[in-house]
Amino acid sequence: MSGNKVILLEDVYKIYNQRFGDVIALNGVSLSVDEGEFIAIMGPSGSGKSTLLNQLGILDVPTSGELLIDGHNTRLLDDTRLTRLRRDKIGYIFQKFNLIPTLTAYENVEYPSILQKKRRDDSGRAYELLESVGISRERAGHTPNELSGGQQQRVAIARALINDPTILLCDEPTGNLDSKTGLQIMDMLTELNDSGRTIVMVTHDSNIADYADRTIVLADGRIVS
Amino acid sequence: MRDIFFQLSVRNVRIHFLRSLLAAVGIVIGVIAIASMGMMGANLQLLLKDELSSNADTIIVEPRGSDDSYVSDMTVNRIKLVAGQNIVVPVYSRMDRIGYGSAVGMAYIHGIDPVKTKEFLPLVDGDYPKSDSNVLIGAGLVTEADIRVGSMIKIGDSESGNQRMVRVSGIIEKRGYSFDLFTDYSVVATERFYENFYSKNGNYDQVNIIAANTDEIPEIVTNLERLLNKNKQSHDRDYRITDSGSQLKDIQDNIGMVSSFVMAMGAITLLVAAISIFNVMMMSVTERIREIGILRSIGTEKIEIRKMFLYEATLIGLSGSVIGAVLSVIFGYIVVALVVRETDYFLSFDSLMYVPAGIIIGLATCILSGIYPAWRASNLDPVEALASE
Repeated sequence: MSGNKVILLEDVYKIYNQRFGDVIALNGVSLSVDEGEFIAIMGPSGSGKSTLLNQLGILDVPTSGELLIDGHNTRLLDDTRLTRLRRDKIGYIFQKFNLIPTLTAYENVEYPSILQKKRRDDSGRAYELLESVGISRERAGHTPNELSGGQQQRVAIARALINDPTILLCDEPTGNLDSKTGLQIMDMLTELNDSGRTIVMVTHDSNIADYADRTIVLADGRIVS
Repeated sequence: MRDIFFQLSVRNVRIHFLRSLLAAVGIVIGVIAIASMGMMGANLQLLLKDELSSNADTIIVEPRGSDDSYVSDMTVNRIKLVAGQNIVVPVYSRMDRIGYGSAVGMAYIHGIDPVKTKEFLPLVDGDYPKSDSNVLIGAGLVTEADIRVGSMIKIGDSESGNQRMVRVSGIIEKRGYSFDLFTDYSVVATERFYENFYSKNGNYDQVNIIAANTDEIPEIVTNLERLLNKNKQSHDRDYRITDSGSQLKDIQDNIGMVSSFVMAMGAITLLVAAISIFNVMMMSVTERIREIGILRSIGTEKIEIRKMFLYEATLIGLSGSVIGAVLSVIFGYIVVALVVRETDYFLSFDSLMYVPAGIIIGLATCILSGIYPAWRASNLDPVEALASE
């Protein structure tokens, strides 16, 4: 490992102001992730896993504390800059795949690259990525609802990789798949990690967490182990 | 660049085709209403302007009150003093029977000094009367009764014994709705003929003043009011003094008001359409909250989300407006043909400009009603949007 810290959290708090009182979702979390690491985040529901992932995915910013993604302090950036950081540095893989229903598999993969380059992809990279996750050109012309769950998650992985992100964030990536397909997806993630991609994965399944180099357990907004 | 946001909008319109179509139909109706009503008003104004402007330089003095009131010789002389260098035309007028061959009908008979006739009644055929047995007729009688130059017509009633044969020496050009004198279906005889035939002597029915310079008209009218009506309250004035220019303006103002009112009705249609588009766009946003969350999570900027929804509103608006504009040419033509009954002006700029105006108003309505939904979509919290079902 290079030792280059791609994620750095120092004393991060996330507090939601509710009518019945403040909810402290993250209670002073400090964490650093090296480039090329594979981290699993576990914990019971309500422990702050998703909140932490949202901070790492820059969908949300901490109430206080420092959060650096590839050296950028997210609390100092406006929405447009946060969005661009997310687009260029983060690849998201969701439990529910979250493909855009009106676009074909190919267009779903191509989409983030259009956002980045402001033009259609002519390098063939989208097809290459789809092929590498086992989606044929013929399949790539179908819309998500014409694909199986496993195929949708493969398309989602190809989409997450199109802009060559520094960090891959996975939110229960196998949660909606049968165990055989889930294992295939995990093998794919392991391969990506072996080739140097940093992965942070949220899961409640310890078998899945075993694929990671390191497991962090959250409870009540704190890291307990 | 083939904009991906534009493609997403197109696909979304296609998926919710019926909903989008209905919203577009609202715009179609609104654009048709505004454009065709605007065209109707414009055509009406153009028609009247052309028909009336030929005598926008005339001041008319008529006696108020009962039928037997008149403008006396003495009053005519006083009017002449006020009018200065301008031509003063005293006119006798009455309805009487005229006959040509076996055909008989009623028409206005005017008695005017032939020297003055030349000043304001142009001819299309023949010549001005050379004797008192010559008359001019309006162009309308030529088409209606087939009377020509050289035809002999009878004026008066054979039963009462007062009937005279006269020769048509000239045809007066079509003048349309003129304020000073209706001549299209009239017989214009000489002053002397009229005085002899109807035993009149100097008690005129109307006096026209033809102003050489229209700028002088207001001053002459003021002076006439002072002289003839002695600045009395309007209800007991002895004479009605009008100038065709200001009457023309009054009528045009009225038509303008009516067509603005009708166009306002069209605007209400558009408002309803705007609400329906707003509703469609809000539904589109609500249905796609999750999709918006996905788009945001993989790096779509707020402004790009906004663009996507504004494209959608623009697509609906543009298709509705363009279809509405095409149909409004057809509907506008029908309305003009039915209401104005004159389509000569339909292709003029003043009339057809309501077509692009309709497109612009329709499109602007759509874009305006798309702004709030687009703004709302772009400001959704990505985390909450992703969590929604």
